[in-house]
Amino acid sequence: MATELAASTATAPKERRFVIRRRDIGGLIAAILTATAIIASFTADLWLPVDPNLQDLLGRLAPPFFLEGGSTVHVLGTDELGRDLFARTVVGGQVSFIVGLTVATVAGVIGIALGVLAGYRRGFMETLIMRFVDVQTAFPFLVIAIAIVSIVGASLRTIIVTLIIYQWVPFARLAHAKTLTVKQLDYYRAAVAIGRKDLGIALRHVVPNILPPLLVIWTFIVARSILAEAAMSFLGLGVPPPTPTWGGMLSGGRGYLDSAWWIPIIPGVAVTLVVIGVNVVGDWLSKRWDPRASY
Amino acid sequence: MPATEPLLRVDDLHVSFPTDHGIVNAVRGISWSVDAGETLVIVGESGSGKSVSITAVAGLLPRNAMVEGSVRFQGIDPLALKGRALREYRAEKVGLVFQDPLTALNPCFTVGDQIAEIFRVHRNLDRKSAWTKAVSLLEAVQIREPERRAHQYPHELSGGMRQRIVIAMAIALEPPLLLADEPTTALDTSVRGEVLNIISALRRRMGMGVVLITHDVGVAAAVADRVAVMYAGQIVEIGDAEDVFRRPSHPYTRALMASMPRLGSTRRLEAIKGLPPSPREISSGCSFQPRCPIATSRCVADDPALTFVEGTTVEAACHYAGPREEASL
Repeated sequence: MATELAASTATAPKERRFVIRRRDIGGLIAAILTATAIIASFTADLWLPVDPNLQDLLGRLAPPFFLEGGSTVHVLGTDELGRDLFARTVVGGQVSFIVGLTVATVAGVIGIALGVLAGYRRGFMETLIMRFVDVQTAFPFLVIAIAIVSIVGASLRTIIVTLIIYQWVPFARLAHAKTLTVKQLDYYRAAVAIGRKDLGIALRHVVPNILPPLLVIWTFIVARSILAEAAMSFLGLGVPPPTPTWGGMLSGGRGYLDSAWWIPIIPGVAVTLVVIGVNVVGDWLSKRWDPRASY
Repeated sequence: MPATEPLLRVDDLHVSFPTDHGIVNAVRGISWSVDAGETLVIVGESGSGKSVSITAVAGLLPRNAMVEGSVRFQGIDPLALKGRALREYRAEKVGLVFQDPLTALNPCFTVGDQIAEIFRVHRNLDRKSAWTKAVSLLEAVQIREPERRAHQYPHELSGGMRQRIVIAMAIALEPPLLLADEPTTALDTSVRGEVLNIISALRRRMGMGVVLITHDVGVAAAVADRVAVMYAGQIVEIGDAEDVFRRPSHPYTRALMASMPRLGSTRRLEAIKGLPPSPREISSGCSFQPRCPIATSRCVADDPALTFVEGTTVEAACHYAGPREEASL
């Protein structure tokens, strides 16, 4: 007994194992596909045979290869200026991914920090932050966006900053509510009772326990930001042409819905697929994170 | 009062909280003390103020609490501490065991990790030696296969096992005082005894003072050296466990004992009629008087103070206090 105990106490703490189970397969496939799309989009310069901005007015409105009159020269056809739609869709993803991931991550960090602070400190700090949240919720996004863009001018950076200013709110709201819940629990009180500092308690006991639902919000905000960027580009508030963006392509192609429907439909499908992919990955990750899940 | 200074002494402690419906007087002038190596059990119904008094001693009262009276702990007054000194007091002086082991552990980390964290933060140990200490602490609370258990998450352990972990965390820094707030209430009856035995064993080995709160007279009788019975924010009877349980002097203590089920007894259980008074209304006279079987007009007019009962170690707050023999527990 004694030797057995001595031997067992000598081992070091082990890390959490990552075992792939059957129920992980859906999430993994979505993660791989989404990652592939992101990588393909950002490495487009290296492998795309065609310049996405090269115009060919004689070959405009060419249909995709699977339709009558289509050819494999332009796999997904050409747009109203004869630019290759496949190339533009691939490269257009860059703006969407940059906007989606940056906005959701930065807004998430800001929102969670402020929400936890509000829930943890209570009092004046809480009132200040949560009233700010309320005020911001009351303003329609596009009004703010139009105001900012008309002052600063349209650019990728403007879009990202505008969206961050808008999207930290849902993070803060949920983080605040969840922090209040955790503060009712005994492990929070135990951490206080053992004399830990506030920052240590917040990082170790509050944040890890409120993260799973916030991860779902994160993926949701990635998707929403991609859509918002598309909407802003559609309205001409987005990235200026000729940089291809999905929203810009939708906007440019909407006049051709009856004659060359693939011009707006293809970027629309791209947005939809990416948004679904990110959501599936987020759901999977938040389940995986929870140690109580029956993994 | 003993001649030497006790480990912890609470003197005329009042705690009240402002609420939307006026001021709630949770604790109204209680005094008790506990020596090193001694177990004091505070018995009372829910709302009698027993948890609040413990919270005050642990230095965990919310900021809006209004406190009067004094708490002395090895020359320190925890009620006056702030910031760093308060954190140090909480870490080094008192260990706290909670009622519900389900929520007392952080679900995101393994139990070994959580215990090791205490050593890393408060003793500046590196990961590996903190882990080794955590595992040996699990042995101290009589967990078999401590190394394997340390790698498990709280949800993988039973309630009794989790409560042992909570106890392990409370005693990790070897505090001279252990406060246990209903430590067995959420557990299966079959593991209650084990948990109580672990607390008693640790108390003997480390010479800790233990203050245990319960509403279960059976639990109190099993571990108490001394007992304080609380009712409506006041102590109505305090003394050696033997005297309080065998020959209770206060009618409330007798009523508590009579309402407890007993094996082999065919006697009908007697519920205490009525409800405890709301902590918002302080009536004049004895606070137990409306429910008391032996109350007289004197009890309505005059609030009895704690006084020694002849021939016992007990102080009781009743005009008609006197030991009555009880059937053995």
